[in-house]
Amino acid sequence: MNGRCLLLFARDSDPALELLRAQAPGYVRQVALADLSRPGWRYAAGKPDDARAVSQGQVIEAGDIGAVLCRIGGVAPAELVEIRPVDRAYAAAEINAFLLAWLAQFRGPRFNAPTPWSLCGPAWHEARWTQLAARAGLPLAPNGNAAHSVQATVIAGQVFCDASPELARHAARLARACELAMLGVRFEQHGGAWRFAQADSCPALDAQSAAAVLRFAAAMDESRKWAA
Amino acid sequence: MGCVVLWGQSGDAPFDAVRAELERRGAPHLALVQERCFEASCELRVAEEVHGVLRLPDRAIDLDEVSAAYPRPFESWRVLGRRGHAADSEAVRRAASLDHALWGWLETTGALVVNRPSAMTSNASKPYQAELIRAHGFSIPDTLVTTDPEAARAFIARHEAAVYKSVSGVRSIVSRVGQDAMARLDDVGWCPTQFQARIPGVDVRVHVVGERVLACEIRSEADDYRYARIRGIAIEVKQAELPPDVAERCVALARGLGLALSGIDLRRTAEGEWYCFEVNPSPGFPYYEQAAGQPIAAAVADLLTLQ
Repeated sequence: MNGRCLLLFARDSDPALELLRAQAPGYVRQVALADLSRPGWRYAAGKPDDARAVSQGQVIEAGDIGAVLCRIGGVAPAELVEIRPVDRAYAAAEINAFLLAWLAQFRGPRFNAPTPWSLCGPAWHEARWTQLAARAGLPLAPNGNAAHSVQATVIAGQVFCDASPELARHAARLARACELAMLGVRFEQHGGAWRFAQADSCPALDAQSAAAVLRFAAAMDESRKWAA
Repeated sequence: MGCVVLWGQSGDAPFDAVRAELERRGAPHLALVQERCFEASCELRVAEEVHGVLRLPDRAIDLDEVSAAYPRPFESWRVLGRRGHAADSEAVRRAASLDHALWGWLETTGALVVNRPSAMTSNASKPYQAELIRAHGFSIPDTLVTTDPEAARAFIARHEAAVYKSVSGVRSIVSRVGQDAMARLDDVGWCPTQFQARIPGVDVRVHVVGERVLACEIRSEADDYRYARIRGIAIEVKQAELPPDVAERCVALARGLGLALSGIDLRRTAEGEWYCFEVNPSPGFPYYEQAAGQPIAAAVADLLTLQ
């Protein structure tokens, strides 16, 4: 670690927050929902080095942020409990729009690029995910209830999956096709065969995949430092 | 030429204008009006390609026969709510199901879509879209978005004049920072606020339809010309010609954002610099069409029917 932090946009209720913090307590700094309506944030067009964030009420300058992981797809009005109810819908729209620009401008490792539909990465319609999976060569689940389902989690090309190596290859292929550093791929078992069911750019993490997140963030930040 | 599907609300000026133009030409089309959309259903089969059927009370359309689509839907529950359908009614539930299927089809079909849902979202964040605009060679105003009152004060002090406006796609009136705003500057602490250097010049609205460029010039003393008439300020809109390189940049910008139809807001300074403020992915073009006498609906109909 080089003294810079991993800025983690996460709700207090997100289990990934504790998993990541437990493994790298000084490195992970949370941006909680309450931080989004506190003084100190800055975005200057074309000047990413002038950006500032707020974590637990403290202002952090862009140069002190090594990597960013956003696990808040978007802020809902009801979540902005520190803002007057009458202003919450407007404030939520403004905060989401601000974060989209802020995250898109961040120059360091950021896992998935934010999109207008989700700050965590693409939140495509299920039809588009299905089409992308089919085009990447994944077998598709038919309609109807499945006997079992399993998730494969892709972190920077590394796949964490309790099922078969074949599913790991499928998941990695889809993440590559979508150019995503982080992707959860859910497979369902139909007639004894595992088939693609759904994908999620903000998957649940376990201890292993959380460790991979930290390794990737630190390695990318280190390579950025040497490239500078 | 296949069938053209229009999806929107009757009474919505752009929807009505394109529909009227297709009717005038006798072009095969289907207008899916949201007031009655609970009578329709759509089934999709998605694999590498998407297939499906759109069913209406009197006909069924194989979606493979659709060559182009012009979606301009509003939220169905609002449209139906205004007609007395409760939010938990069967009509609203059916409409939501149709919406979901149509959004999926629009995102995956090989037909021309004017515009695809995923391409219509970049203006949900003005500073996010501004960076995409800058990448296409237009100038953008010096911009700060902040919850830091001190940073806002410093930014305002650096510029001869500054304006503030919403960060998101929520429509707001562009306003000059005056004494009133300065007195309330500490309020930015609870919500990010966008400040921009005010750029004096002449507004130019450009509609890009496929490769066609239709520009009009707007002259007004208002900080936000869209609200000039309401505020009793004079406004003049007339057809304009863009320099070829600016027109090319507009086409490249629209293409880069994945938009077959767009409304681009430019401002030309006295020094001849071209600023771009925003690209509207679902422009309400009839106002400009009428004010400047431009055949924009016809251009959209050309695009939809020349597939």
